[in-house]
Amino acid sequence: MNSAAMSDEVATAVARADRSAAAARALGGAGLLRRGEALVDPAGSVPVRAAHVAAADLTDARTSSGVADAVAVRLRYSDAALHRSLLPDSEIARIVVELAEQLRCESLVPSTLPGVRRNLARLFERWIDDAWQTGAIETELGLHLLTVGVVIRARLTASPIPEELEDTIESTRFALSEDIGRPLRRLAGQRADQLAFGESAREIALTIAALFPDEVSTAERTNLRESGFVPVVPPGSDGDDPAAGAPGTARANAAIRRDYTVFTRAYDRTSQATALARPDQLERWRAELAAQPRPVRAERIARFAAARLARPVTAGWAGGMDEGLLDPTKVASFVTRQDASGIFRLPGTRQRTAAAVTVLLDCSGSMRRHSAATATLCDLLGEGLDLAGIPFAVLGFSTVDWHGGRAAQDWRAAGSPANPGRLGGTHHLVFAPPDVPWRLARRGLPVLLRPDLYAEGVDGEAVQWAANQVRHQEAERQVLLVLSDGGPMSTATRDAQAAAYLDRHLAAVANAVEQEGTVELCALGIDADLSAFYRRSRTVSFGETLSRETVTAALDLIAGR
Amino acid sequence: MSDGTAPVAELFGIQTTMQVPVTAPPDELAEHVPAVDPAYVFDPDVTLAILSGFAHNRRVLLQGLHGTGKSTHVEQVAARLGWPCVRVNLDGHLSRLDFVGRDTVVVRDGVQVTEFAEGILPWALQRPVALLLDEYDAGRPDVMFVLQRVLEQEGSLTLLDQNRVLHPHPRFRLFGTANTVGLGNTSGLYHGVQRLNHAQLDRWSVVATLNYLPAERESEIVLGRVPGLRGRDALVGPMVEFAGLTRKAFAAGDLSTLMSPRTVISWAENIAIFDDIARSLRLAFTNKCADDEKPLVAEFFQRCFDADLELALPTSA
Repeated sequence: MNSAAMSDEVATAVARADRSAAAARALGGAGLLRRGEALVDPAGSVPVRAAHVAAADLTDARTSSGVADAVAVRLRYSDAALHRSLLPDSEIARIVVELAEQLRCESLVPSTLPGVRRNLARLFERWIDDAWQTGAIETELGLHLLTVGVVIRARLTASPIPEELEDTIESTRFALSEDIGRPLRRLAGQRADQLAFGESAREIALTIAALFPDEVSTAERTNLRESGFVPVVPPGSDGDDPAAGAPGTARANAAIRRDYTVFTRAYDRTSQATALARPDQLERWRAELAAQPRPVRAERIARFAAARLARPVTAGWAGGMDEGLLDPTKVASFVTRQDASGIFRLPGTRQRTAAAVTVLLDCSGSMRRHSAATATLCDLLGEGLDLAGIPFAVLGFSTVDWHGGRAAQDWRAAGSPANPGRLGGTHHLVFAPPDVPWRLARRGLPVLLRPDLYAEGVDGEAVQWAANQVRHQEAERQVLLVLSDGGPMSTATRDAQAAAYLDRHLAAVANAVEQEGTVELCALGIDADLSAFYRRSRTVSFGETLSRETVTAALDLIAGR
Repeated sequence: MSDGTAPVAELFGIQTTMQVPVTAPPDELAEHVPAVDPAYVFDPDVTLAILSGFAHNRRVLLQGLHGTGKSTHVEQVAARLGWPCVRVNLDGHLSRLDFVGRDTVVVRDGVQVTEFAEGILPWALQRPVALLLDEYDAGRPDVMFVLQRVLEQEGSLTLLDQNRVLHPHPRFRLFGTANTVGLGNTSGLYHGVQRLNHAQLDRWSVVATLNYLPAERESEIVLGRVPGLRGRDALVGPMVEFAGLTRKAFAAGDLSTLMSPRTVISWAENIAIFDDIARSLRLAFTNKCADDEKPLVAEFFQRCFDADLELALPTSA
């Protein structure tokens, strides 16, 4: 597959996931947010850990709608606190109770939503198919969990068990029937009563758990987790999945930011872009930039920005009216011409731009091939927003060298102590400074074409730095748009710390900026999905040159859509 | 219809012992009595609020999103009481003079003379008329101050240009409808609405909120209004469900257009004409949506009808 097709695929998958997330919000999950491939509630935790939902992916066309609907019906019909109080102690019992509660909610979907019922049925069938493919069904524990799920679902929806499955689960079902038969028969009648249903489900769960004591089934459970048959994070535990880089609650985020350390700041730099190039280089890059095609005219951007970012304020007068207050400047002409038309005036309105926009460019190595297009985008936005009277600035971030450079050498010289924190010098760049007229500010933009500018990226610290720069501007709204093609990258830090160390810091920093609310943070992902880090993000597929879609997406984000 | 009172329970089917006056209007005002829509479904809370306005001379302001049937509600109550009802649409350009009246130049006996032409307010004030101010929050707040005295019960209106004081007719009533609660365009949906003066908002003695009805009631209304769909009740449930999803998506900021009950009725009417759910939906609603929001509309369609909107009706068709 070539890279253009691949980036299109990312953009399509992200659009699909966003659509499903919107559907989930409308169906009953108000406040749900998409973070990467999962839906999280406003507090940042994952609402559904049922086996057939947790393993499915929101970006996959086959499961996207199903996952969205499953989460939505859960939030619609289930009380989370009550459910948590009903969860037993052992992991296997928890999995069963969680599964039963989810199936209960799914069975409550009204007949006016036939499509939701179908999506949920497909999602469940997919879980069964996967159990065959991964071999989960061949283990005793897997077979028992699957049997309980299938039987509960058949009871609740009054639908028959699929024939091809019946033979496989028959003996297990028969063996269990004596122990779980009674609570199982009660379930359908208790569908509308979460507490009574939960108690029956608990009874079933404890019976299953008794067959597989925790200390005996450890290996089997690990296997099932790895094959995606049961959730990686057991239901009811608050720990977030660190591999997915999912942000936790506000308190967890505060802890991440507090624990974030830097081995040495001795090599950190902040540069004005104009100081990074000789005049002849600047001139050459400027000419190169001027030759780039521009998909949209700056005037168009100005019109859009004025309409979306400006707001009408009452100021001055609108003259030439046929009613209102007498306009003193028209009295003389009225006396001489005896014509009463248009001699009145009414309070007038004027558009006032109320925003300042700043772009923060990721200048990590992979962004180098997009440099001409990003520079054109910034130049175009700057010109357009300047026409609309909106202040615009361009900042960027990179590292001073690769693989931690001298900071990593210092660390090794110090005997490679554990947990050194971030390793390597950050390089913060000011391409177009704020509070300077665009005509002068844009002089630094061509430096984006300087190839050795691009190294690694420590996004979390960069977002913090940019937010601090932006905060001081005098505007009603301060918009910070991050342009990036992925998460943070610093090989030295990754090797010395955990892989997700910088990812988690970025998510925590972004979350803190979003919570604080002074700066409106948004992100444009270049062939990448940034929803794991930022609350408001878009994904565009970026070719060799700047496309109209990219400009539109950037403007939509700036306008707060 | 003779003068007297009638039980509310009988007229509107609401469980209450309240009695309301029912009258025959004077002949010259009979044309202003709205026509009765027998299929109209009344919301009990709002109906009682409106009735308190008619029976006890309260000033009633109805607030709610567009298409919830605020004005129609007042009109249908008036229709059943035989009360003349005059509807005035407010907008930002309505001036004080339009309301109160102004001197106009007329030619009488070949001579130009100025004559005072009464505005709608003095006209209605002196007659047994219910004056319904539509889009009350679109009116300019400074102009709305001419209503200040009238909003008080028995409040008289002084015509400064005329040196006259008008006393309201005992059966003069005043109603208002508004999309917002007087805080301006906070949702971004109602461009052109004003922030109201709260001293004035305070003078409305009853403020009722008419929000979207529960799904079953909305289905009843749709079936009542579109006879062509009777017998196909199973279709209306998902339609109302679909409208509900667009409203939730609007509230969450995922859609910038929502489906009002009025649109659901147009959709139902279109189905009666075209006998095609997807095509009717496109004509009534989808064509109003922004291009990038259409895929989400298709998602909702899939949920409610278990069918693909694009397959049912490709955009190029």
